[in-house]
Amino acid sequence: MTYFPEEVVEHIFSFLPSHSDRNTVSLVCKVWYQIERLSRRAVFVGNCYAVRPEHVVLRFPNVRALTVKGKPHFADFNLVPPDWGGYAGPWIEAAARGCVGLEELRMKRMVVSDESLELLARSFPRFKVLVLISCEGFSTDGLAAIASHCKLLRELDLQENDVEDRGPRWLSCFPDSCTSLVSLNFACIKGEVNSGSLERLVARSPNLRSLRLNRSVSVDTLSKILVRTPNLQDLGTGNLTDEFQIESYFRLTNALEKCKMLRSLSGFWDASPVCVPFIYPLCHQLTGLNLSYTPTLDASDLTKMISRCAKLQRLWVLDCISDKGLQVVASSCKDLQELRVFPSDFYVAGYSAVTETGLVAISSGCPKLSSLLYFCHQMTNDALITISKNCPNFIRFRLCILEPKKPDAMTNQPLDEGFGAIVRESKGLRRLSISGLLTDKVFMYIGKYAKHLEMLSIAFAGDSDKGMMHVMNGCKNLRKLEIRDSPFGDVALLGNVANYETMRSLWMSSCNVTLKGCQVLASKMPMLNVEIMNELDGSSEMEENHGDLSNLSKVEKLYVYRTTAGARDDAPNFVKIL
Amino acid sequence: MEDSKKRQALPQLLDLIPDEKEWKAREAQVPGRSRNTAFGAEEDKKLELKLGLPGFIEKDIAAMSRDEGIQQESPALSLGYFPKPSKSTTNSTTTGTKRGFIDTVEAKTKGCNEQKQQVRAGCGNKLALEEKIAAMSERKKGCCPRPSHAPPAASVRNSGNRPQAQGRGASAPVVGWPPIRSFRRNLANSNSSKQPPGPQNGETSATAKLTCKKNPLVKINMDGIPIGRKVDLVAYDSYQKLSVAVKELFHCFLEVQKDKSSAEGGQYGADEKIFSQLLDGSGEYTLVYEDNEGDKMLVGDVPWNVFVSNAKRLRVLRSSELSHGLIGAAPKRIANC
Repeated sequence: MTYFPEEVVEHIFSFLPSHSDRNTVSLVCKVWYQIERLSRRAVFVGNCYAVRPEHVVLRFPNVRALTVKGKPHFADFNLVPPDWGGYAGPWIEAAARGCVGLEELRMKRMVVSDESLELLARSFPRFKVLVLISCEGFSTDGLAAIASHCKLLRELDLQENDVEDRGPRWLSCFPDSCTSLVSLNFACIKGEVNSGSLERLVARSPNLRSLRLNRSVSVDTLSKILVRTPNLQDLGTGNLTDEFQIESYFRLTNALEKCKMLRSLSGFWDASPVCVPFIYPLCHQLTGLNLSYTPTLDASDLTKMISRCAKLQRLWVLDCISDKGLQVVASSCKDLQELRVFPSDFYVAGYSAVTETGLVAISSGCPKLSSLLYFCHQMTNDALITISKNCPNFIRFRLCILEPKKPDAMTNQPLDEGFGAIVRESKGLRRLSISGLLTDKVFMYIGKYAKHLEMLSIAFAGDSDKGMMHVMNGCKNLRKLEIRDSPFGDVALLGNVANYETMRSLWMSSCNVTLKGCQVLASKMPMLNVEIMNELDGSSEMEENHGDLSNLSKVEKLYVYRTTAGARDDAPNFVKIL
Repeated sequence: MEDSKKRQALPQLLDLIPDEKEWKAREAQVPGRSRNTAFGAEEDKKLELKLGLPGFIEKDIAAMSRDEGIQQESPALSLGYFPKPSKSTTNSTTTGTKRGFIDTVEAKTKGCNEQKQQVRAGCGNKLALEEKIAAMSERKKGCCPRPSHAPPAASVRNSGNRPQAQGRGASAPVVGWPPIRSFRRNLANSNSSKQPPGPQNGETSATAKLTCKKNPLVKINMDGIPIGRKVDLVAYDSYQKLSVAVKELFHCFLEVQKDKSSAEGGQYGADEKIFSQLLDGSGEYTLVYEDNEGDKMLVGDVPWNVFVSNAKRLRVLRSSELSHGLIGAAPKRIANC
């Protein structure tokens, strides 16, 4: 192949869509490295601190689509202190200098400022796609900049971001000449939007396929919009309360009935149960349904709707649905592949209307189930074993028993056997989250059977370092390991350090690792950043006190990741990089 | 019996405070540990109530290293039955009585904190007994929306293992648990603070369910009683019924108090008198509440369903305190003390 002209090689490479394949070919020889890097169109950076933005831009000057992820996953649950890092600024600045052909930017768990959005909007004349997931640090003013200046904007997708609301003007900033929108998702925007602007924007966007509104949008506006978008495939509704007149709802149903391409529905917010039947005409064609933001619907409301959705593949719902409701889902939705059941009530801890019964029902009715996130208040080994046999195709299995360390509800045994069955039967398992009472045994099973596991989340589990060792030694494909409140210490941390080179990151909080252990790790593995976070004054104490006592003091939060960038220079006071 | 219990209870309570770090979740289940069995000794073997320890439920626990913290919290609130695998739990009883348990736990938290402040010898004993009563009557009462009538054995079977940080619910939850994104948590918060626009067609039936999710059980405390209760306002449909319920919740505590200290009249009928004038300000106690803006208000001014939406907390206040302005807000009516 080395004798082919570059164009041919490049063309061949274009058939390698996956990043890992392209990364591999770039290692073959210098020629291929050059060809590959100059023709690379999409780059995925799983940890923004693993590599310097300048280096990425230098190596791939022609990149069109850049994806960057920032904070560790546990930041979602407030375990990472604010101001830890994950700033989008350096990435946008580097791209603005080095690859102005950038068209798509996707960011997750990063801190994005309005200034950065402004820079983004002005720097890339062909910019088309902006996706921000669980980001923060910006306001609707930043969105206004994007709307105003990105003339070719196709996608503006804001998922669960924390956006400061500075008024509705941002939506009106889309110029009249902007007719290219394919996807617009502003469900997470808290404030109101101008319904006239929205209607006009939709009216001039004939390619719109995905539209997710926020709760401020009225039923009337929704109806008017839907009349303009008969080709809509994905809809997030505004609020569906019964403040509106019934005529509005009739109009809504009429409009919805015309949307023959509509497959995915979300939103609902504080939907009133009486309004939901107006959605029924859509149900038979839906493959995706997200009711997880809607605590106002009870089990019977939910089941009445879901029982009409025979083609459903993806369902996100609150636990109000109850075990009985899940039985209805199991009998109605035979094609179900992804299920997420969220808790509706955090205040009375340990209470959830779903138990193992609901999940067993789902597993027996929906054998195609491959992705699960399930919050419940109890589980049994028997149930998990049954589930594992009914559904051997799990790729993602995340079970959260609300009460930490809760044993099998029938036998009071640890849930080791249950999770063991899951990893044994689902050979393609890539992501696993475990909970409940668990000993080192479950980790033995995971290490032994979960050969394709890429991400593992552990909380309040295990007895000793052996547990973590099982995982580190057995799971060769592990990329992300995150652990909280488990008795793993330095022995486990240092047991198999070579692994950390092949992993993206390790998170350990409230475990038994000590400062000394972390220091040993840092000295053994210079290509890792070993970040330590102690509460408030913790880090300054470590500086002053060099006695043995402090070395044996436990590290509250540890974040280890491979990097070519060296220690980062934007770390706050409470982060110490060893 | 009281005295022997007192002798045993007091040293145990105090001893356990410095040694809490030794406690492990599973060891709490082992009846062999002397500290545990001392409490349980006099109880029916099946019931084996373990009483919470004042020292455990202090805020300091949050500051302690968490891996120990979770484990040590478990036995603290092992008020409940020890695992008896025979019983299978139905969904409703588990959830219903478990709530009862948690309410008791929260009540105990409050009681224990006040307990430390009082430092009265008699308190330990009273605390023990009150907690028992609270636990048992709470379980009998069950809670919204499913009153529990099944024997609580199954329901709180696993409570011995439960890290009680969870049981404290709103007061001191485990950080980042359950693992829900802030976006979702905030959504839940904003849902609970939003009030339904008012009863409308079709919404009335939904209101009960709405309030249940948005308005979890509200705490109610009575002056002079260290342990609070929780009420489900939705379960009552008038102020009168609430008043009756308040009486039911607290009269047993008052009885117990009368048994110990002969300060009160000791008449059985006295509590009738105490509770009868809760609403009109003329009795010994007055019912007040804290609304969703944090203000302390007199119960009875607004329509019942508005009250249910707005009330976040209730208090049975000594009417004498009303006039001293201790509740902070200007009383709407003059109390005749």
